[in-house]
Amino acid sequence: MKSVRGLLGSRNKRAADVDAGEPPDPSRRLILMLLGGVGAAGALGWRLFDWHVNQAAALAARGSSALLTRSEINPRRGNIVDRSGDVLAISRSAVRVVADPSELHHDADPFEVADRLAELLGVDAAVIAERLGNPTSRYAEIQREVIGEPADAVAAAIEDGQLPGVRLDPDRMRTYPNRELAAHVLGFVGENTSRPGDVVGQAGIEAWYDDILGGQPGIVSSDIDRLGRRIPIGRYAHQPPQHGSHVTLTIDRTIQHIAEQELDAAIDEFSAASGTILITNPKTGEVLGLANRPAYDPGRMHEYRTFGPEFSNRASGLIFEPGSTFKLITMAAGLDTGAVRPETTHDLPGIMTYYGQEFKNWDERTHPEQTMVSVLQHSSNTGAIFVADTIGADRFYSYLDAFGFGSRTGIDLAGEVSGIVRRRGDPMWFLPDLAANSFGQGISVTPVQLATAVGAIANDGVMMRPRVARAVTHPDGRHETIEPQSIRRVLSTETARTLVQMMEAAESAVTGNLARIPGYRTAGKTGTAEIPSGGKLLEDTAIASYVGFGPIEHPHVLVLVIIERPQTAFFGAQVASPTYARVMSRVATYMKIPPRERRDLNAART
Amino acid sequence: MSAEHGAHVSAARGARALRRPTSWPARDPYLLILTVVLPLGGVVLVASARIPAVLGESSLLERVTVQQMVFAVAGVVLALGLSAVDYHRYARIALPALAAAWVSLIGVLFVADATDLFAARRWFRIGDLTVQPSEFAKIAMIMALAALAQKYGGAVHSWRVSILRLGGVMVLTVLPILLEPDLGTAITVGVVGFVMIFAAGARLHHLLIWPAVLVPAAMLSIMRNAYQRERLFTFLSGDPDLARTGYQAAQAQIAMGSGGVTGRGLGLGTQKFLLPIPDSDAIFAVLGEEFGLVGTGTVLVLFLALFVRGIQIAAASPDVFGRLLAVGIVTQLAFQAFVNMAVVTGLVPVTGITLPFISRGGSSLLASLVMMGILLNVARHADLRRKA
Repeated sequence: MKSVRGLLGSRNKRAADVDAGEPPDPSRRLILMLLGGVGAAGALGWRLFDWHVNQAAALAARGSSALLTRSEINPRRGNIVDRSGDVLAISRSAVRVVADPSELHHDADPFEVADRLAELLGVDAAVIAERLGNPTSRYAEIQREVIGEPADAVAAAIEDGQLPGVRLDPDRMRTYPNRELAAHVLGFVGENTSRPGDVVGQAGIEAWYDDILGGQPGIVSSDIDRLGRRIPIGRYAHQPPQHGSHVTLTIDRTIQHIAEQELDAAIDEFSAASGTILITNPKTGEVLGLANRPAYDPGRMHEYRTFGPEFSNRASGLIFEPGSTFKLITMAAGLDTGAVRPETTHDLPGIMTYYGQEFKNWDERTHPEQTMVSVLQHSSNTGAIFVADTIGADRFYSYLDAFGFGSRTGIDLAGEVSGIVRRRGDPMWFLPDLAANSFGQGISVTPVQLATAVGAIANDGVMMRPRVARAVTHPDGRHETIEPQSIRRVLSTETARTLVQMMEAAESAVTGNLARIPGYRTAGKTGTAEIPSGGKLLEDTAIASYVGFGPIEHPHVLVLVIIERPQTAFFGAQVASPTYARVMSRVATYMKIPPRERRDLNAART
Repeated sequence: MSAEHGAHVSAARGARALRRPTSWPARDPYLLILTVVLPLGGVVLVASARIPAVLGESSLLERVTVQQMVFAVAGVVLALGLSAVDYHRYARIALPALAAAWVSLIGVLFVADATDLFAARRWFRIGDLTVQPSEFAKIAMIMALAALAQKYGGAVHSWRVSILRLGGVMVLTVLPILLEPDLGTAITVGVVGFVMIFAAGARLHHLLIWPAVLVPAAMLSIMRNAYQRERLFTFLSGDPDLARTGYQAAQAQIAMGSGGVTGRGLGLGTQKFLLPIPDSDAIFAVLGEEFGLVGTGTVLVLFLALFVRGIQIAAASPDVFGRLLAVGIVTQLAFQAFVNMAVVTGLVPVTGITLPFISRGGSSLLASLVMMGILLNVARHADLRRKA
């Protein structure tokens, strides 16, 4: 205490100083100042040591995590091409018009900018003004997938300084140059919610091969400043994106076009509601054409407000009652088990009762003492019941399993369904169901299942897995072929060949058969799914179909035609057969399949 | 003139003068080193702290860095020149200079561009240049206080001198600065005035009068100003992570920690991209990140050395005027440096105050070097071998 008082100058001494009129010895106060300075420096030094040394690691770690950001670079999506390399789906570089509303509001009148953008982009100015509306926001998307002239015009206007706060971000757009063609095979894409600016496949090939088409995003991690700009001396890691691979389809654009054209014509002619045409190669399982109506344009997805029936891939995603075409399956099982032979004869009653339920032939006519060929020729329901009954329920259903009914074929299209087969022993199965199933009623299948099963008959008993992709080309040039894959042998070669001959004989015997193709030997079967309701047929809910393949010497084209709810005609033979014949004949010509004999062709014309 | 005065000194001090050569420009090597090292080091740091500007429009060798370089070299030359000017001459111009400073301080309140950042009226804008009258006022006040203390001598014990005259000079300088508002500078100038009156030998209870008035005035100023109030509360809350004002403190702390002992190396700091004004108020944090404890410790030691040397000069100076000039100048420089470093290290609330010699800014650098020039001359007259 004494010393401090001394330093400051004691009361007594101060009084003396005043009297003497002399200043106090200044040294004491200066020393006090020195002490103050050293103390302040000491406090600072202690703090510096604490932060630079004691807390260094923790603080540095906090800084690292705050600075480092990670962003992804979108890969380029692979193309989808048809079997000869024609482009069906392609990704093009586009721009996305975006804005920084806060900058825009600061530098300009947002309504003026909205008007200018509307003029350049051909969009409603009010919509743009609304998107630019929030003056505190830093990001607003104005228009995606801008390409060509509007993109150039906006770029020029930005360059000109007319659009403050507006910029162009890179964008990609998926375009489908052939519009609706093969829409259900291709599918469509939608915005990838986890990576803006990128898309993800949502149906068809786009969805099934999304990983392959989509590639892997690149990753950029870097230190950024408060405005999101990369710090040049900061950490920076860049891993380039792995672009998507191209997928080559088994689809042939021309055959696809034939299928769609003939489907449209048939629907138009018979005022039908919808339909499917499936063209496959039963030797390989390749789908050459797959057409559904109604269809959609995958390049204009933003114009559709709801997911209507046009988005259903009826070929693999919807089920139907096959009707008489299914007698081929019943007959194949009968022949393969030895239950019947082609020459086996049996009475075909017009009306019969099977375990308490009444069944009829389509024309209710009785045909006594008929061969199995006749069963096919007359498409006799009671004949099919005879075959199935002879086989027995257990064996019959095991053949249905072998043909793949009730399970997915594994076709490489998203959204395949398995159909409904109730077997003996299932809760809702009753004995009369065997009879109904034998001619394709009370059972639900997909067109792809039916074509695959019938394909086994054409392919000497071996069923091939259906597929729409035949190769993948990676961005580095590697080419991967997808080999044909057999599912299983369903019938013996002999059974298959016998059945093909029976089919040809039966179809030949039909007078005025509209499914006949001049110059070619083909085998096939009509179908008319009849939906009974109170004992009466509802004609506007019928499904007319025809499945056939050829040439029977070496069947490598299979055509399945399904026309749903035709209004002006009803039976498969009337509605589906002519379409089948036109498709088959046009495809044969396109594929340069030689006619059997020129003389026969001429004879057929006369 | 220098030679004439040198002759006078040697005549008065006799033999001792022989051992102290009077060669131009300065006689105190320690002070001379500080005069050169601090501003030139500052140029290097400003250049580094300006790197974020490269992300904007400026080029790497951008305008501000070049300006800083020019000001530093010109300022050092000016300081060396002033070291040859007899400091006694300032006694005569002290009061007119103070009057001019007042006029400009009052003037800036009416003239300055009120649309400026924080709406503070601190600068005169003359073309491209901005002049801060408070920089000039600092020097004028130091000179005026020293001159008055010299004039009144032992009468400083009287309240008429200590409270009215010396205190009045201080208060009239501080108040307009407080009104700008520039709280940081006002506090610095106030503290310098207070310390000078203390060093002049005023009675302790006289010394307490003006702080009793000024501290409430400063508090009122803080409370009236939303951003200053926020800064104070942020500081008092002790949480450096607070979003807005705490952001700067948190980033500065991270910068220091990231620097560790030896630093990341010149130009390699990344926090300057996040610090609000890395080339000015927060330049000490940039130093801390790029040069670590070695860098910040060195600057701390240099300012402490300046302060100690200044006090030694004051103690050894031949008259009250020289003594108080030295006290005022080193207090001004060292205290401002202390406040800046204390802000960056979170020891005091955030106030916008620059680090003398080092922070970007031409008029502040020139003002600091003018003071160094004056101090160098006081040192020439001081008998530094005498025990302080």
